[in-house]
Parts: sequence; C-alpha cells; structure tokens
Amino acid sequence: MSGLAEQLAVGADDAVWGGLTPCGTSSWEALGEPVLRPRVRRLAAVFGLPACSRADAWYELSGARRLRDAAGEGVYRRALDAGSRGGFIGPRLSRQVEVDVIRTFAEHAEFFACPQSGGCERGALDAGAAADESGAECAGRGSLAAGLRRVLRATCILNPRVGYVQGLNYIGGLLLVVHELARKAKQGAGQAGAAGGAVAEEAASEAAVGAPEASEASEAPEASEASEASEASEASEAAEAAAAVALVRDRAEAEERCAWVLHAVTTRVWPGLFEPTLSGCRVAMQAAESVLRARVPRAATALDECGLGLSLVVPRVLLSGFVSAMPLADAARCWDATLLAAAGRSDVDFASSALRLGVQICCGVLRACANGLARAVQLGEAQRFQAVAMVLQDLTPASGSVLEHALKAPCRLTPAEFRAEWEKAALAAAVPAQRQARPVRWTRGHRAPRHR
Amino acid sequence: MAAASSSVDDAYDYLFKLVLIGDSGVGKTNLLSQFARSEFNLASKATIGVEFAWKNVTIEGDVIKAQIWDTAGQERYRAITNAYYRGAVGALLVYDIAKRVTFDHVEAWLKEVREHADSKIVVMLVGNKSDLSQLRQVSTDEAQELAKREGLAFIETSALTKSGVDTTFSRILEEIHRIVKEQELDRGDDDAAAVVADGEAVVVDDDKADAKAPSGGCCK
Repeated sequence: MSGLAEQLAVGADDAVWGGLTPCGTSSWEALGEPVLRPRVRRLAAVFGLPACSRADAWYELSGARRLRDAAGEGVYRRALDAGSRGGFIGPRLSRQVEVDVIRTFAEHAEFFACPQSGGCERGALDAGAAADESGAECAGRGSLAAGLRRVLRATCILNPRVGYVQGLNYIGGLLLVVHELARKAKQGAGQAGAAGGAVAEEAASEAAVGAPEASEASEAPEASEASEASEASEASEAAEAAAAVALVRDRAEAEERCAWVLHAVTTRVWPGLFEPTLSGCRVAMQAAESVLRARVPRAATALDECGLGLSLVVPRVLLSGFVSAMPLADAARCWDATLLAAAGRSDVDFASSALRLGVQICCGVLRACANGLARAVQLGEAQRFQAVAMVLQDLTPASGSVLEHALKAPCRLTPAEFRAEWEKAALAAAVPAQRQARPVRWTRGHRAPRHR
Repeated sequence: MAAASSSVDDAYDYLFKLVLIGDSGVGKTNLLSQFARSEFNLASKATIGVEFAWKNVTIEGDVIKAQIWDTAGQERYRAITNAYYRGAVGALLVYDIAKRVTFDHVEAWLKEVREHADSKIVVMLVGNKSDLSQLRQVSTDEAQELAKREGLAFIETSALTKSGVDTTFSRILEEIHRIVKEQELDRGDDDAAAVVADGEAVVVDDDKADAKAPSGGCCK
C-alpha cells in the first residue's frame, strides 16, 4: 500500500496550475490572491488545489488562522497541556479518542500507532521527534498517530461543547497528512542547497518507513549503507541536530494548525453537524434525502426498496469529512471544493455554502452509484438487499466522479435552493429535546423572498 | 469491504436481521467479519454510519439468511441510528472483557435496545476479546449473573481466535428460529407455510411481532 502522502501528491498539479504555484516555494501568499478569483476558483474546484499548497489554503479558507489569531497566544498550548493530562476531556471522550487514534489509517506506516503500553517499534518513525517533550505516552510519538492524539485532545478542549465525535479522527488524520506533505515539499525546495540535515532526515524517515519490508531483504546492502552513513555522520552531526530541532518545531506548528482547522470545521464550516445530538447531521440527512428523491429518483427508489435510508450514507460521508466514503485524494478534493465554495463569504453564508457542498457531495456519491443501485434493485428479492448494501458499503468504484457529479446537475444546488431545502429539513428533523441545537439560522433566507 | 460469504443468488427460508451494539472498540466489526468472512483485522477502522454483512446458516433444514447491521459505538451516534433497530429480531450486545467500562455500559445499551427495538427482540450478551485473559477485568461469573438478571443469553468470544464466534451467531439464530417456528405453530396458519414454500422472507417486523409473538418474550 502506498503512503498516504503519495496518494495525495498524485495528480496533474503542474499541468493544471503551471507556474502559478511551484511546489515548495509557493504557499498561501502565492495562491491566496488568485484562488479567490472566480476563474481560478473554478479551476481549483474541478482539478483540486495543488497538493503542496493545500495545508496553507485550508488553514486560510476554513478560517482557522483567524480563529487562532482571535484566540490569542498560548491558547492551543494550554489546551495541549490539559489534553495531555487528560484534563477537562473526561474519561469517556479521552477513551474514545484513544480507541480511535490507534485505528486511524493504522494500515499505513505514517500512522502506525501503538497501544499506550508500548511496543511501538513501527510507530517510532522519526528519531528527530524523540526530542518532543510534550507528554506523549510512548515511543511512537514521532508518528502521525501520536500527533493525531494531541490534535484531537486539544480540539476537545478548544471546543468542549462538541468535544470529540467519531469521524473527526479521519478529518484530523487527513489534515496531518496534508501538512506533512507540505512540510516535506517545503523542506525539499527550501533546503535543496543546504543538503546535510534535510537529506539525513529524509533518509532516516525513508528508512524507517521502509523498515518493515526491508528487514526481510538481505543484510549486506544495509550494512554498507550504514557504514557510509557513519563516515558522513561526523560532518553532518550538527546539521542533523539542527534538522531535528526544525522538524520538531515544524511538526508542532503543523499540529497546531490542524487543531485549529478541525476547530474551524466543527464551528464555522459545518456548525451543528458535530453537536452532541448530531442535530446538524440529522438535518443534512433530511436535506440530502429530499434532494435525492427529487433529483436522483433512481437511487432513492433503490434505497427505499431495501429499507436502507440515507441514514447510512450521509453520516459516513459528512462526519468522516469524506474520508471514509472515498479514496483519500478524492476526499481532499471534496474539501477543496467545499472550502472554496465558502471562501470569502460572511459567517452565515460561509457555513451555508460549505453545508451546501456537503449535501451536494452526499448526493454526488449516490448519483455516482446510481447505476449500480438500479442494477442491484432489478435482482430478485433474495439478492436485492446484499447487492444494494454492497454498493453502499463500497461506494469507491464510483469514486473519482463523485465531485464531478456533486458539482453539476442534478446534484448541484443554488444557494437559494439549498436554503429552502435546509429549512424544510430542519423543521422535519427538529425534535423538542434539542431546540437550541438547531444548527444555523439563515436570516437571509427569510429576508429574501424567492419568486419561483 | 463487505463481501457476501456465499453466492448472492441463494434462496432462503427466513431472513433475520441482527444488530451489533456496544461501546466503541469492543470488536463488533471484527466479530462480524470473522463470522461472515473468517477475517480479522487488528487495524480495523472505526465504523462511521452503518455497515452490513450477511451469511446463510441452515437450522433444522431451514436456510436462514442472517443480515447483520454494524454501527458506530460512540454514544453520540445513537441520535442517528433509530432506523437501525427497525425490523431487527436479534441484538448482540458486545463488551470487552478487558475493559471494565464497556461492561458498565451494558445496562445503558439494554435500555437503548428496549426503547428502540421491538420488545420481543432476542438479546445476547457477548464478552469479546476472551483471548486477553491476562488482562481480564470482567469475570465470567459476573457477566453471567447480569445476563441471568436481565434475561439474556450470554457467551464469551474472541474475534481474534474465532473462539465462540460461530456459536454466538448460531445460538442467537437458533433462538430466533425457534420463536418464529413457535409463532407459526401458535397461529397454525397456512400463510406462513405458503410464504416459506415460496422461499420468501419472513420478517418479524414490528407490527406482526406484536401480534404473534408468544407472551413471555424470547429468553427464558
């Protein structure tokens, strides 16, 4: 299985983006201005943002940077400290985070996590991060899993009301991979000249990643590499140390950014979706169902036939931030589209646009599966359920086209159409117990009567 | 992820829907994949939303199609899983023998089932991860006691070694099968026989179950 970062790095970045965002040197400064131009925005929506600019772009577009600036210095640090002691999270959430951290992307070397008791040889990917003193429990603290644990705990404290919801682990994981990719790209470009430390770090991390497979291979080449390395080590010792310090610093910064983006996702981008009652998610389910019924009746009928409502698909798509419903690269592109659709709008419209994209993508997922669903339904009664369930479970064969479907008819919704659907759904989904949890009030929707 | 354990077009006499419930991380998904596909994945992903598996089992000459629903364990997800219990005739309530707290939540889960599922649903208490005996925090006796008190069947399993997994599913399916048969006998009706002959599903759905289930529930 290829690395997660590689999965994200593939794509026609250069062909599409040309010289606009040369990987490594560019960041938000290069991309920020043009990406808000309609034409570039459409380009990004269709082809995705350049992989190495995503970290910066999402940090900006989600509003995470502004949240962080507004919160002031040290807020994250304090959250992190409290989080590492398990304080203020409560045993239940703390346990839930732990249960999920060790099984998030656990099949990938970058994440290979470790139980707290230790035994995490494969988790210890990065010698450099051993200098990290922030209270991680085990030797695997260099792995992204350890970072994910810190990010999720800190997020719980940044937003105690939402805390941790299963699914945020996938979003957090994706964010960490995106940042790791950006860090490597930046390092590759920035330090290409001053080889020493960067190369040593890359090599070390490369070796660690390859270790499980390499250990099976013959010993001889490894030994000779090792001796070469030891000769070179005297010269590069200082550089290595500097690189290690830089690595720890960069990773800590990346983790903090991830935590703020996650915070932005639960509060600004998709407010209400992750509430304790999942109220926003229920509204989204209603809205998606209504849209699907009107616009992709084939898929809706297929689900009806088997008694399988959208309740199965929508939470999986939205609460996992697309990650558990499609390949990682597609999930990242869905985030590009979602954040770009919302970019530059004021708060209410921002969330409305982001939720609109979420609902469109849910419909896109099912639109992409519509043929498979329709075929499944034509089978006899005895086979129908399995066949439909298999399509739903899999979802992936249709991937790649999901975003394409989501952005055009019949799944595409105008902001006004979406507001109408959402309000209708909110009424239908409302239950007395959680009146206050109604996710977003569309004041503008009330003010602007539609003539249709 | 899901794969039918046998060919898709097999006919069956009964269709039983089972749900898997219990705290996060107790091994629900692995229990299911062991039963349906003889697979175990140490790095299995957290279930978001709902997943399914199915398998045909033969009991007393009847082909039973077990359709099993697996869902996210976090408490918060109960808000969106109401539909999940609809039509279920059996529930496996899973806890982790090496994590006390997952056993402490069993009663809350029972309440959840009794609120949302049909009152005649067959519930079986399953202590998973029995391979972790050196880390055991919940004794067999204690669990047995709870099961007795609540009128549940009880078994310990290891999804890792597959110990007890097949027994778990066959026991709960046999129990359901027995109840459905009793119902048919009670009614003495030809309808049921006719339906079975057609190879159609007999689903004990909410309305019918109320009408035809024997008093006293399922688990004596």
